[in-house]
Amino acid sequence: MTRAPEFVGIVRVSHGIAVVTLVGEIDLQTAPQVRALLLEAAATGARAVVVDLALVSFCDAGGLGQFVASANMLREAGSELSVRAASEALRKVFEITGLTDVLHLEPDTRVEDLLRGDLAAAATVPLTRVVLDAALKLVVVMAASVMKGADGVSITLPREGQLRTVAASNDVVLQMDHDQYSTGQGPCLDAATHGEGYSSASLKSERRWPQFVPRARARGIESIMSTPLLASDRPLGALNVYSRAADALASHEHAWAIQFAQEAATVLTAADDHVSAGSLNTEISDALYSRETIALAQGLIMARQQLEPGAAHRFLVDISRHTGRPLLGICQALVMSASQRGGTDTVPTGPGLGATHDVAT
Amino acid sequence: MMSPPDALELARQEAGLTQHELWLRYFALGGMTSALELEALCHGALVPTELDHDRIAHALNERFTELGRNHPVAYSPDTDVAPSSIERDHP
Repeated sequence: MTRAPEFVGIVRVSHGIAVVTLVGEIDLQTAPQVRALLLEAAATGARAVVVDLALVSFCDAGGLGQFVASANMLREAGSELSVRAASEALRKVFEITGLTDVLHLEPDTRVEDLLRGDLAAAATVPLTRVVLDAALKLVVVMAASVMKGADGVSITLPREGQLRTVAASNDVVLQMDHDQYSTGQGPCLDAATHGEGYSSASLKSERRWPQFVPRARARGIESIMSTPLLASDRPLGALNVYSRAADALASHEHAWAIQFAQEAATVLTAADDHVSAGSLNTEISDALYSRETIALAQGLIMARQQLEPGAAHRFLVDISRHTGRPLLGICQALVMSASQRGGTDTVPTGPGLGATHDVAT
Repeated sequence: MMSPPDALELARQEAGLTQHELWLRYFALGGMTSALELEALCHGALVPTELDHDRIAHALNERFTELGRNHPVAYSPDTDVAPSSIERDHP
């Protein structure tokens, strides 16, 4: 039987900053490894060293000593040592011992703030249909946070014979969808019905949806893009992106929209294949929960280390491999750590997880 | 040494997972392809992207870890780094 190492560290240099990710407990036994990793990071010549403690559950006096010694050494060499994603307990230890005078504690990233509500929700395991809606809500929140030109994202699906918004990143987006359902026209209806993408770079000169466009502009929306969710070329619904600026949704946003639409379609198709007696079976429900948690953790790593999705996923897999802990466990720890570090008062306004909004077509 | 095109399929059989069980594990890790496509990827009839290959490899390796074995399925070369070794982004 292979015994998993109790402590693992990974040094990654990106954009001139060395990020040291520590996993496990920092105590008398592992403190020398921490020191070696910090020296290794300093030796890269990076202008700053950041220690990510999201996966550190405990740190004793030996570990603290290593941080102080390394911080002093780095400062003398002209660079800084900072700490991110420490748990509340670790932060308190740093404050009580005065370590905050020599170590900079990094604030959370924008993505963490955006995801806060979903992080808190992911910490509890919802069941059946709620998991599916939560997964779709996560898709829109992630899409809204990575698409720079987007002021809101939603997903439209037919449910019980009507088109409905099953996930929206904020209230304006929700109202935009409702305007399309009530006027019977707009890109989201066309994309969900015809299975093709519809976009308008500037609603000011848009002529295709004469009843909907004035309503959209009255809400301050100037450009729009709806991408179909496809299963074997059959339209399942649409992913809708709205922006307050004209020409804000460029090819970069189009590529992201296709990727997020594909993710939503994958989740929906898998769920459809595993429905019995109107509810999702346990195995797909568990798999969706795992997938959602891993996507959240991936979003955190993308924001913290400025990585593309594939690289963030590989980074997490790497930690899983080297610790011998399941990827889900690593991601749960990351998500829990992030959700416990903040309240839910920074959640963007909008419908809660799993909320379904009915509008007659 | 080159892996045979159906290396993933052989690993699946060795891990004692059914096609459906492997797909479920792969899907839980974020995999995007259908159960049928996954079967084709494992048999070498389709070529997986590096990310997909690593997802399948990791799904299998997590099963092997449960069986007390240490990640016998190879990941794509980019992923193959040792703990605490330094990764660098391209400038």
